[in-house]
This record gives sequence, C-alpha cells and structure tokens, in this order.
Amino acid sequence: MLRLRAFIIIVAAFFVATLAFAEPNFPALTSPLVDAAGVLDSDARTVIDNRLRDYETQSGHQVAVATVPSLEGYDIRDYGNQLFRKWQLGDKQKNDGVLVLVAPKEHKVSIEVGYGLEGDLTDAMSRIIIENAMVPRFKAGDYVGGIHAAIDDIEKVVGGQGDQVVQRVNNQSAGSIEDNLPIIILFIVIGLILIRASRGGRYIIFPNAGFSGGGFSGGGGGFSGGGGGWSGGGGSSGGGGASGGW
Amino acid sequence: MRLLQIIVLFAVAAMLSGCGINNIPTYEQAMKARWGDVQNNYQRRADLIPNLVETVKGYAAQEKDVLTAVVEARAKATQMTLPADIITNPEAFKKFQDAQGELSGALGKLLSITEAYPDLKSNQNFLALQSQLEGTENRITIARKDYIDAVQTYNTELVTIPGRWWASWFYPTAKPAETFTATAGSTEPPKVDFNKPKT
Repeated sequence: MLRLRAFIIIVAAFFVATLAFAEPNFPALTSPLVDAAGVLDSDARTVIDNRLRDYETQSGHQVAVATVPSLEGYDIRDYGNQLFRKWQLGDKQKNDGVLVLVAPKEHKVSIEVGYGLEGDLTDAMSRIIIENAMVPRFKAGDYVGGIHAAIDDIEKVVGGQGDQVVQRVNNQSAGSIEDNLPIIILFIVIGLILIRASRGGRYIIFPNAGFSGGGFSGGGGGFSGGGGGWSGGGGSSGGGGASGGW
Repeated sequence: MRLLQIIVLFAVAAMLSGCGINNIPTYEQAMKARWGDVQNNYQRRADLIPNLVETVKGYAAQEKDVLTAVVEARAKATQMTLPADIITNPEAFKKFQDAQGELSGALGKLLSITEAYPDLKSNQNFLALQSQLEGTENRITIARKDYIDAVQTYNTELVTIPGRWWASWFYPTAKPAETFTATAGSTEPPKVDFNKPKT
C-alpha cells in the first residue's frame, strides 16, 4: 500500500514537472532556414538556406529564418523568444544571433535579436525592417521576396549601414504634408516657370525624380549542396527585436 | 599523517559540493542576477517615458489627464527607494510591483489614446519611441519570467531535501524569495466599447 502511494506521488510529480515545462511544439533546427509552414518552394529554400550559411561563414553571425504552421495560441514575441533560446542562436559569448519568425496562419512576423546585437539591430530598426521589407510583400503573398529583403536589411544594419536602410525607407514612404512641403513648393515654382516658358515658346525638361526601390540581391553564393546539419552556437536573447502583422 | 588528513579533508569537501551544499548560494546569485535584469528593464522603460510624453504632448496636448498620470506614475516608480533585501521582503516587493503596475496601466492608456491622432501616429519619432517601448515591455516580460523561474529553483531548493538540511545547518538566514503575481487588470483583455460612435 505504501509502495502504491509512493508510486502515485512519483507519477504526479512527473506530471507536474511536465506541466511546468509546457512549451509549444517547436520545429527542429535542421538548417538556418526552417520552413515548417511550407510556404516556400524547394528552389527558394535552397537559395535562402545557402545565403544564410554563407553569411554566417563571412560574418560569424547566425541568422535563422523560421516559418511555423501555428503559434499555438502564444504571443509571437513569446513564441519567438522561446524558440530563439531553444535553438540557441549566435555565439555563446557574443550572443550575436538573429531569428526571423514568420507565422503565415496568424499573419504575424517578428525579429528576435540576441543580446549582443541589440545595439545595432535595435527594436526600432527591427520594426522598420518588418514594416517595410516584409509586411508589404507578405501581404501580396510574396514570402520569398519578403524574406530576402529582410535578410538584406538585417545584413546591412548589422554591418553598420543601418542609415542606408532608414534612408531608403524615408525615400519610399509618402510622408505627411509638412515633409512634402518643399517638394510641393518646388513643383509650384517649376509649374510657374513652365507656364512662363510656354508663353515664351520654350520648354523645360524636368529632371527625373529618382525613386530607387533598393536593389535586391536575389541569389545566394554559388555554394550548393550544403544541406548538412546546422545548430545554434549557444547564444541567448533577452527579448530584443520587434513584431508586426499583415 | 598530516597528508592523509588533508586528503580526507579534500575528499569530504568534494563530496559535499557534489551533494548540493553550494546549491543555495549558487541559486541565490543566479536569482539576484535575474532580479537585476528585471530592474534594468524597468529602468529602461522609465528612461523612455520623458521623450514619449514630450512627443505626444506636441500633438495631443489636450489629453492632459492621461499625460499627467503617466508622469506621476513614472515619478512614483523611479523615486521609490528599494531596500537591499527587496527580493525577500514581501512588503517592499509588493510596493515595487504595484508602482510598476500602475505605470504600465498609465502607459497603456497613453498608447490607446494615440490611436485618435493620425498625425502623431505617422510621426517618425513617435513610431521609433513606440517600437522601443514595445521592445522594452517585451524585455520586461521575459526578464520577469526568467526571474520567476530562478526564484522557483531557489525556493524549491530551500524547502526540499537535502537543500533544506543544508539551509538549516549552513545558511540559517536564507529566506524564500518573493515572486511576481499577475497584477489586477493585466490579465484582462482590453475592453472595446462598440457603442461609442466612430469619429
């Protein structure tokens, strides 16, 4: 009888222990790109995967991209941080990992940043990348383009060229009327000149207002056939990054 | 003979450290480090607030009540002197938690009223501050979670065998640590009033 009671207690203890460690069903980390949601075709997967591997070889930073079929009711930042810690992205000492998490079912995306990169890839910067590189493309169903654009921007920001990303965004976004006032005045002035010029029978050619869309380097390096296992370096994250939705 | 004594002493020391005599101080240090993270992140949030308040004021000065509430809650939270033993002092801990909870509430209200000001919402400075604030809230959540885990480990060690024996023999001053409880309101989803006419 005593033995039975002891047995029940042990079973109960195990049950409590497993409850305490309840966590979402995380996909396994098999390569820097884990497309558990299955939104990418195999060619795109290979390209992104190689690209992330090449980036790690060049810079030492582990950037991983994950798409998940479901967040299982968790907040994306909570899920993202847990997944980051489970995968231990980034070097153990430097904590220089980045996780881009896409949840197509919930229409949510987040960037989780390791402790060591918080200074470069700030929350505000992560937000800018999400809102400008990913959300518009994801809205159009272009997961491949959005992921590539995000990796482009993350590489730039981590490489110290964050101002380029911000500048490009500022060029693209239509600002408020105050921001555009100089341009509006410029157009009025040009219009006036044009009217006068047309009376005089002369025409003025406008300089083209150049809107650069930001070039996207589509291809990864030519290093194919990698495909080997990939694992985190022991890094951790304390919740840096941002999230967005579409 | 002396050599033998030394060997025995070392052997005993090794056995003791193997059976958890150091667990209590180790877990205590880990817990204190996590508590430090919690405080840092709350401080980080407090540091963001003056800029945020100024920016909102520029667009929504008429929301004086909400702005004042934030400033006051921030002052209350930052001017509070925290005793050194705060993590084992239930009263001080509760005070800290209440003050930060009040600030969270005031900030939540501030962010919800900003919805009504499209100019403010498209202000780059505001957007940057808002994302920093969101990031900080996320860090606070994680730091709190890590702290709760560390406290759980420490407190469990204090009341289970053999940690309990070690505590009574070697660490009689060790007290169970305080942990966060969900503040009233923080578990409730925000209420949406559908009766209010849309402007």
